[in-house]
Amino acid sequence: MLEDVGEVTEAIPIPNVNENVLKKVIEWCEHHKGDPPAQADDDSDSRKKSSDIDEWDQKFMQVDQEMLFEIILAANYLDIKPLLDVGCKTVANMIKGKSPEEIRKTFNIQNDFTPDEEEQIRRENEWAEDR
Amino acid sequence: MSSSHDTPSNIFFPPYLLQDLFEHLDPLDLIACKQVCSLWYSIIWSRRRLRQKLFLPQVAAEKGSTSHLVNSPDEVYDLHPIFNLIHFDSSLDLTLATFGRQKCTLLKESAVKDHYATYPATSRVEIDVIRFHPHLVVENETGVTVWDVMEELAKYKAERTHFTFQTFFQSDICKKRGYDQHRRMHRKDLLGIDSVFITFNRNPQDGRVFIGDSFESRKGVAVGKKYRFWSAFAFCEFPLKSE
Repeated sequence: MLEDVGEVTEAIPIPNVNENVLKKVIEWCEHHKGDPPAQADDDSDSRKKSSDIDEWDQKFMQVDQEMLFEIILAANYLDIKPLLDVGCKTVANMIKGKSPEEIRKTFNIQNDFTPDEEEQIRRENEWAEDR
Repeated sequence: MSSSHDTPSNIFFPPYLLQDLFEHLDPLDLIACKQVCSLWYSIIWSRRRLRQKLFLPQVAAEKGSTSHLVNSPDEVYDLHPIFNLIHFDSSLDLTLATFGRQKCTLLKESAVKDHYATYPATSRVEIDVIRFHPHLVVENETGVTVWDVMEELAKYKAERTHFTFQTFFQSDICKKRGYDQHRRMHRKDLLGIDSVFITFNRNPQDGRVFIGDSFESRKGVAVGKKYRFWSAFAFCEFPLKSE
């Protein structure tokens, strides 16, 4: 991103990212600056396993939910793909093994299905309920 | 839960990044996500890749196309988690087989019967039923479905085998159990008598691998990543217990 801009002394405005979040993002970038460049995501079909978050990143992501989502937003906005991935994996791990109700609780999501819709969806998935 | 700096309920994971998030989940978790709210539901339904990951059949607009099928020796296939739930008791007819606490025959009424048996979907699935036996091949040019597999298993069970009781069990066991040594067996005799494993197998010709690890891990069973084949139906043990 910075290369695109060339030599500038002026500040680059990033209105969507607040200071605390930016600090976290910079901390992450500092830690990972020596990483080999990520493989180009050629194989879009490659299975992503969310278990493989490295230890440092796991610690790094131990923040409250609001911060976690802010980091993900910032990573997306600033186009830092590996950080976006780590963020998504962290959220994915929070979902794993949970029931729909538990997921709603975890993320404070409103169940907005009508009773009819809910019944229909339950029927679609009833085979999976008895596991 | 309600301290002053709690996440306000209107802040959630940005919707336009939800697909990125869902990509990291395995099928059973996606099924849970589908039931969370209408936004999540519609995102999962509207993305072809996510739909396929849920083994969902094609929508009407795609009917007849086979471009979603993957028939490659290098592919690793996830099996539909339903196969992990099916209990096909050795003493039972397929109509009495169960999945979870329900009868398999109910599958016929259920949406799951049209699901693909594998992810990615494939036009040919080869199943090993009982060691030494010919493979059971299930084919469907628009993608093998759960019901295709169930039907073939039911047929397979009724077929005659190439074996006599003697060739399979050796004469001393036949004597002990009172089997007619020279009688040709039906497969159901085998299923009825002894331990059987059905495995969705690595196909020796094209080297395809089926895995079920993401489903197994739900049950707290530690499974290595490279799970070569996976017993879908654990009836009883095989080989024979020596008495």
